[in-house]
Amino acid sequence: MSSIPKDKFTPVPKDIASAQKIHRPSLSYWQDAWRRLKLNKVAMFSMWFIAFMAIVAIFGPMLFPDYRDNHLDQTLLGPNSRFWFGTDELGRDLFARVIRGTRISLFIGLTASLITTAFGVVYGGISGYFGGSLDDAMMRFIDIISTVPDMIILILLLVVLPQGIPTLILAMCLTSWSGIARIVRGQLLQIKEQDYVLVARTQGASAGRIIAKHLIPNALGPIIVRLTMAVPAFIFEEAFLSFINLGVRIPEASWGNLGQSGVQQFQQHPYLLIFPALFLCITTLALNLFGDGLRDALDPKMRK
Amino acid sequence: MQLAKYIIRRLAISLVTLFVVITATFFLMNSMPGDPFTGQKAIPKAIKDNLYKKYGLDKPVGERFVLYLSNTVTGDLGMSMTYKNRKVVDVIKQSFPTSADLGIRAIIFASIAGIFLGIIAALNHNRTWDSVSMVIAIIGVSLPAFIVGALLQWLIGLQLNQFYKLIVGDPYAMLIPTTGWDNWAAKLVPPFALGISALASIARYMRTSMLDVLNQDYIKTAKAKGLTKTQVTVRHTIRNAILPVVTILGPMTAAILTGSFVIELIFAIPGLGKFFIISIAQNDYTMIMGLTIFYATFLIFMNFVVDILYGVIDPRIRLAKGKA
Repeated sequence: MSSIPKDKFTPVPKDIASAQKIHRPSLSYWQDAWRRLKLNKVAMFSMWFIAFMAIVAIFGPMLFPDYRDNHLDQTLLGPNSRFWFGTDELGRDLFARVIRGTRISLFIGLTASLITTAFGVVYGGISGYFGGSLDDAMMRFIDIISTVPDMIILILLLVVLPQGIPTLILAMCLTSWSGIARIVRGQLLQIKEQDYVLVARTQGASAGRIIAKHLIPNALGPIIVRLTMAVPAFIFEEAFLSFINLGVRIPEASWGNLGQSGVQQFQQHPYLLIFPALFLCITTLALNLFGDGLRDALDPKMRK
Repeated sequence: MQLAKYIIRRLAISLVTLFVVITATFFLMNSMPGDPFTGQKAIPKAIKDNLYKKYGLDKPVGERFVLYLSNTVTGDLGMSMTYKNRKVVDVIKQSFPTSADLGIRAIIFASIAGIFLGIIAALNHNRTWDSVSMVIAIIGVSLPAFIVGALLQWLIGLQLNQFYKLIVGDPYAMLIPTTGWDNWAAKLVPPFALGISALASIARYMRTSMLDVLNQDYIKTAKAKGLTKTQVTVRHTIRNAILPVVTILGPMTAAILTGSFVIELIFAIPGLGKFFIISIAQNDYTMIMGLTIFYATFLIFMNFVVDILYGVIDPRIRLAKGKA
């Protein structure tokens, strides 16, 4: 105890300048989220896989354009050197069809998600921002809409509407926007009570500016997560609809209708189901895993 | 009083929804070009007029709507247009029990296995079993029912039974049949195929809920007062964690129901889902309308029951919803 010399106890001089110094680089919300996402190996791997599938969807059909050409002398061949995934009952090249299906399925999934999200954000944004009786009315409407069984109404719409991919996307959007609208509204109700919104309002910002500049960017995290999770859900929905013959029509190819025709001949020609099913499952798996990772990265509660 | 108010509110919403569905169904089906008698052969006008009269298609839309509404309320959903003299209601009575049997088995399987998986995952948070359970769960979400069904049928229906035939030496022997719905063995595989995606979502939900409860102070108290690990887990954690899982019973019923369309078709089960898909393919439009309304009513009712159930179990929800 007594061995500690007295001069060890001199006070450290107060240095106001260095106390104010920020030692670690300041990170914005998005930089921080990106840093956290990078630590998640599964999510990063999924992200690169999705990027790869996007490239396949964009450029693949250009390299293998003959997805609808019949080779009637070469029907139902197994995988071989000319037809990598084999051919179907009309001698169409399954590889070219699966590649084409990648484009169609991802296109449907992405467009439907974007439209649904955009509409949900606008609806939820208006409802959450203005509040009061308008909010009440809009939310009662959603209560009713969301009690209606989506899939049943979707089937009904597709039975009635003219066939085609645009109608398919439209019908899927019509039956699924209420979830995102609710989330956006909930977020806005919290954010609009924050002080920076009050400041913006006292400085005379218009409602549109406050929604676009302050509310939406701050509510963006959950919206993006929801958007990512919606893509595989829509791809699944298309596959289900194709299975009951209400989805994408042959000769156009989608993972759903390839799987559907594969199921019918699965016992004799398993490759007809296995290839499209693998593409479908691995891509939806990657999208789900990436969505999970994104949620962990964007959730402010996880922040340390 | 609070509860009664809550029930009435939910009931009102359900009834409005039901009315919206019935109206939408009627007018959507009405807007369709052509009619069930538009076929390849031209039908003489006199016959066509009589057919129109028989099915009430000669009256104006408004009158038909009112008639349809009153018929629907009294439980008359009309006649099938492709099967002669078969009422839609009779078809439902005949084949819905099979679908319900399949669905209930799937839900029981999915709930038990899903809750079990979720508990295992949460109790081993961030360890091997957690990862294993969650990988199973996420694979379950990424496999469409028709692929699971086809794979199982191939694996069990074809390969396993082929193998069994070789061993027994009887070319007609079946260990586990994967078509039909007439004996207990045939009822094993389809509920499994149907339940797998519900299982996955239940497991994930249960895990989150368990982790939430495990962080609560009353768990700490329970441990501090000297309860054994089993007592804490069973009496305090699982019991509280299982409550929120009730909320996904509604969406899950819907998912099981739509899944059953696919599973019934793949496994050749004579349920209502199979009928629905066939009637869509055949443009049997009274049948489509009738079954749509039946399914919608069923799902709306199930949602209503789940809401009430949840309101009864957890008063906080009731109060929060009443305020909003």
